[in-house]
Amino acid sequence: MKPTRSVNRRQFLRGMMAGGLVTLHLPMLELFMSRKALAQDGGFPKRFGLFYWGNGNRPENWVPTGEGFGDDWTLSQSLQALAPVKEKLSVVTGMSTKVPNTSPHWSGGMGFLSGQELVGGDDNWTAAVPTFDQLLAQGIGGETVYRSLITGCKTNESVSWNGPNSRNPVESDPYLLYEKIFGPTFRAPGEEGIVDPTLGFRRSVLDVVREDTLALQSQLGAADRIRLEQHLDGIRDIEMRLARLQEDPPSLEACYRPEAPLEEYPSIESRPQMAARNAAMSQIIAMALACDQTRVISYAYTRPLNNILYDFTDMGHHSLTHNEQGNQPLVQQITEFTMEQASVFLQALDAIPEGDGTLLDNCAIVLSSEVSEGRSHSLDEIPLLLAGSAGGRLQQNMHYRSYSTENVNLFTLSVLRAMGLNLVSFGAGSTEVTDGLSALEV
Amino acid sequence: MHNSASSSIRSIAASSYFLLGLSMLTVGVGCTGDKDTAEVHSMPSVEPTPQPSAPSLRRLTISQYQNIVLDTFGEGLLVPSNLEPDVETEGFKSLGAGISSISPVGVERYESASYSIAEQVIAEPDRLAYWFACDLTVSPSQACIDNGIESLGAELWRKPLTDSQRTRLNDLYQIISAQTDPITGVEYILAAILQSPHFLYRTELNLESLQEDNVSVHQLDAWSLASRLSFFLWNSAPDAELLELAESGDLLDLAVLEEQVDRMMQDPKFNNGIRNFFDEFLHLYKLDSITKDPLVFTHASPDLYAAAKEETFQTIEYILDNDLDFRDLLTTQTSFVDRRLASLYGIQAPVSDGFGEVTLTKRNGRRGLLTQASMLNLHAHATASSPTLRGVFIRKTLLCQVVPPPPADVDTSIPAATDEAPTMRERLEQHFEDPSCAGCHKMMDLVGLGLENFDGIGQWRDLENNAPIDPSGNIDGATFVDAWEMGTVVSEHPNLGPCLSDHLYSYAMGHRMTDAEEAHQDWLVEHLFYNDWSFYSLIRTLAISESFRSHGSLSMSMDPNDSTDTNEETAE
Repeated sequence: MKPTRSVNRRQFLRGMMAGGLVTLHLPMLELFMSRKALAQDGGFPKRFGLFYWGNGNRPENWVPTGEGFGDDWTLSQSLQALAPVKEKLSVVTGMSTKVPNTSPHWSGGMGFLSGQELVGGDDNWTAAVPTFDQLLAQGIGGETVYRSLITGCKTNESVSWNGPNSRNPVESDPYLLYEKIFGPTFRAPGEEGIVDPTLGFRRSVLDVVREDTLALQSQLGAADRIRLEQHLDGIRDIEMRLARLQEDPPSLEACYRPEAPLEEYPSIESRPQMAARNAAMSQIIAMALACDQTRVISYAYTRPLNNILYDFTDMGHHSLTHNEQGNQPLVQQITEFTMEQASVFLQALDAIPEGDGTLLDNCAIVLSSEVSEGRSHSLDEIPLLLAGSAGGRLQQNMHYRSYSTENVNLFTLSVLRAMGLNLVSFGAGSTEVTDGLSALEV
Repeated sequence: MHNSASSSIRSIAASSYFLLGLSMLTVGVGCTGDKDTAEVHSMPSVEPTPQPSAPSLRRLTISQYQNIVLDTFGEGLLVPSNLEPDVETEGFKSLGAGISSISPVGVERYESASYSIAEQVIAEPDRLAYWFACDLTVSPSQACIDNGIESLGAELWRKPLTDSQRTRLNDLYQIISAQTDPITGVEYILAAILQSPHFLYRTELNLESLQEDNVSVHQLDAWSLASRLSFFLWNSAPDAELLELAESGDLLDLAVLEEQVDRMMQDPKFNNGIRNFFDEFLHLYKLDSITKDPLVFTHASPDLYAAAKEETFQTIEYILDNDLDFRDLLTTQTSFVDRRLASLYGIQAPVSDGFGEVTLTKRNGRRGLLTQASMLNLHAHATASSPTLRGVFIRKTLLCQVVPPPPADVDTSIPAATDEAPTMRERLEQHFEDPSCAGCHKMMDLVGLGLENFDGIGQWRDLENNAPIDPSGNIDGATFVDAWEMGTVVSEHPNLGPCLSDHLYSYAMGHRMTDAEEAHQDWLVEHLFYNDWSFYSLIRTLAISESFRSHGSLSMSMDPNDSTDTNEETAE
C-alpha cells in the first residue's frame, strides 16, 4: 500500500473546496461516521476459517472411539493434540467426496472446496465454480476491510478460487501478512479513522481504471468479459477498503495491535520452521478476526501435493505417502504434527475473549484435507473437523460417524448455512445436496 | 516422410497410451535417419491459409511487467515482484496468461505496485523528460501535459488513446494537481496508466475488421502487430521505432516487417526473449524454488540451482549464436560452468570467477541438455533421482507425447531397495508387475532410467546401494547404452521438430495450437528442416507468417476454456 503522505490542513481544506467533480473522492461523510454497530442482535459477528492441509492422513489412526457427545467419544491417536479444544470440536467421519477421482489430489481438493468436479485437463485443471470460502467472502465479507484473507503457512499456492482459471494468491509470509493488516493503515479501537486526501486520490484513480475496464470489456468475447468482470470485483474491493480505512475502527474490546512476527523464518537444512511459522500466522489471523479486519480466512497450512521435508523425515511429505512402506509411521507422525499445529491455531482463537465466550465460539473453523489415505488418493473417509459453533448454530464436542459414506457436501452446506448463507443447495449434478448434515446442526 | 511424421504427432501421442511402445516403435523405426538426409529437403511449401483462433486477452506475466517498466523508465527502479502470480499451463506462463484472470488480491497488488513505481519515477524527474518536455516543478503548460499523457499512455498501452481515455486522464490530472502540484498530478496519472487493463492485458486484435460481416480471418492492426512482435521476440513492449511504424501503419508492409524482425533479433533484448521462451519451455523458473535435502546432497544450495539455470541458458545461446543445428543442444560437448558446477561435475573449473566454456568428454559421461544439472535437478525428488519424472519430461515436454497421470485410486508406492533389488531399475521392475502401473511406467521409466548415473542433483555415480547401475534403454525402438547415447536418440526422434514448433507457436500465440492451426505446424517443421534446424530461422519464419499477424472472430461462447480446446486431448 502506498505510504501515507503527510498533507497539511490547508491542503486538505483546499481539497474540500475543490468539490463538485464526480470523480473527486474526499473523506467527507465517511470520515465522521462510526463503523456500523457490530453487535447485531446483541451478538458478535460470525467468522469462518478453513484450516487445510495436504496429502491426507492414515485413516486407520484417525477415527475417534465412541460416538455422540461429550464423554461418549474420545480422541483418536491422530487427534490427541486437539485435547485442549475437544469441547469445541466436532469430528465427522465416514464421509466421501463424491467426484470422479481422475486427477490425484486435485479431484478431491476441488471436489471438497468447490463442491463439484474440477474442470480442464491434466495440466490445466481448475475449479468449475468459486470455492466455498469465496461464497462466504461474497456473502458475509462486505462489512470488513478485507472480504477474505487468503493465507498459508508454507506454500506458494492457495486453496481458494474465484471460479475457473482464477486462483487467489496466497500470503504465507507472516511478516507480509502482518504488514498488510496491522501496518501503517491499521487503526486500533479508540483511534480515529485515517484522514488522508490521498485515499480520495486513489479512489479517483480507480474511477478511471473502472471506466477503462468497462469500455474494454464491451469490445471483447464472452470469456474475456468474464475475466474483466473479476477485475472490476477487485476494483470494488479496494474502494470498499479505502472507505473502511476512513471510518473509525470498530470498538472491539479484545482487539489490539499485536506484536510483529519475525521478518524471516528461514528453513533449516531445507526444513521449513513449520511450528514457528504456524504460531506466528495463528496469532496474526486470530487478531485479524478479533479486530474485524475480515470475517473469512482461508489458511492453507500446507497444500495438496506438498513435498515438505520435516525434521524427522528423510523424504518430502508427498513422496513419503507413496514410498513409505507398511503402515507408514512417518506419514502418521506428520499427521500428528499437523494436528498439533491445528491445535495451536484453534487455541489462538480460543484465547481471545468475546462476550461470555471466546472468539472461537463465534467461528466455524473447518479442518480438512484433499484425500484420506495419501498413498491411494482415497476419497472415502475424508478427514473432517469442525471447531467453534458459529455463535451456537453448530454442534460441538461430538463425533458423528456416517455408515453410508455420505456426501461431504452435506457437512459443508450445514456450515455455510450456519454462517448465514441462504443456499438452496451445494454442489452440482451427482454431488449436489439440498439438505445439510442434520446431526451437525443445532 | 517429414510431413507424415509431423502431421501424425498427435496420433502418435494419442495412441501411445493405449498401444504403448508398439505404434511408436513403427513410427520410430520408420523415421530414424532423418538427420542424415536433412540436406536434401526441398523448398518449403507456401504458408497454409491461416485459420487463427479467437483473440483472447493475455495478462502481462510478471517478467513482462518488470521488463516494460525498466525498458520504459530506465534501470535502477525497484519494480515490485509481488504481483498476481503467473499461472502455468503445461509449464508455460504464456499459456496461463491467456486464460487466467486477475484476482481481487492481484488488483490490489497492481495498485500498490503502480504507486511504488510512480513514486520512484517522479522522484527523479529526468525519467519523465522523454514524454513531458517541460519543467513539471513550475506550472507546466496544458500542451505539455496533453503531450505527456498522450505519448506516455500510447507507449505503456501499446496503442493510441481514445478521446474518452484522454479526457479521463486529463480530468484526473486536473483534480489532483489542483489540490497538490503538477508533479503529483503526473504521479497519479502514471499510477492510473499502470493500473489500467490496457496496460495489464495485451489486447491484440483489429477492432475495425471485427465490425465487418462475413470476415472470419482478421489482420492484426499495426499497433497490435507491434505488440505481438515485441512480446514474442523481447518479452517486453514495443520500442519507439516500432511504435512509429505502428502509427504510420508501415509495419503492415511485409518488407518493413521483415526489416523490423531482423532488427529486433539483433537487439540485445532478443536475448531476454530467447531466455524467456526456454525458461517456460524447459520450466527453468522452477529452479528458483526447488528444494533438495542437504543431508542427502551435500552440494545442494540455491546458488547451485541458479548456476545450473545459467549453464543451460548459456548453452542455448551458444547454439543460437553460432546458428548450429538445434538438435546439437542434446548432444553438444560444449558447456559453460562456474566453479560450483565444475565441482559437481568433477571437472576443472575453467575460470575462477563466473562462467567459462568447457569441453566435456566421454570420460565425464555427460554431454548435452539432458545431462545438465538444471534438468537433472528439476526432474528428481528432494532426496533422490526419479527415472519417472525424467522420463515424463522427455516424453511430454521434449517429444509432446501424452503421458497420462497415474490413476488416482491405486497404490503408487515403489518397493523399497533390498539386497535382491538394490537399484532403482530393479525396484521399478517389481512395480511393473502390477499391470495397472506397468503400461505407463514402462513408457516413462525405461527412458528415465537412462539418466540413473546422475543422482537427484546431477552428480555422477557408478553404483547405487553398491550395485552397478545399468543405464541402457530405448525410446520408441531406438536403443541407447547410456545417457551419452540417449542424447543422440532423443535428438533423432521424429517428434522433436514438430514438438519444438508446436511449443514455439503456442508461446507466440498464447494458446495451444487448435486442430485448425495444425497445418501450420507441418509448415513450420518444413522450414525447420529446410533451414538445417536453425532455431533463428524458425522464429523468423513464424514472426513474419500470416498466421502470426492474424486472429479469428470473437468467440461468444461462455466456456472459459475455449481458447485451449486442444487440452482436451491431453485430458484423455
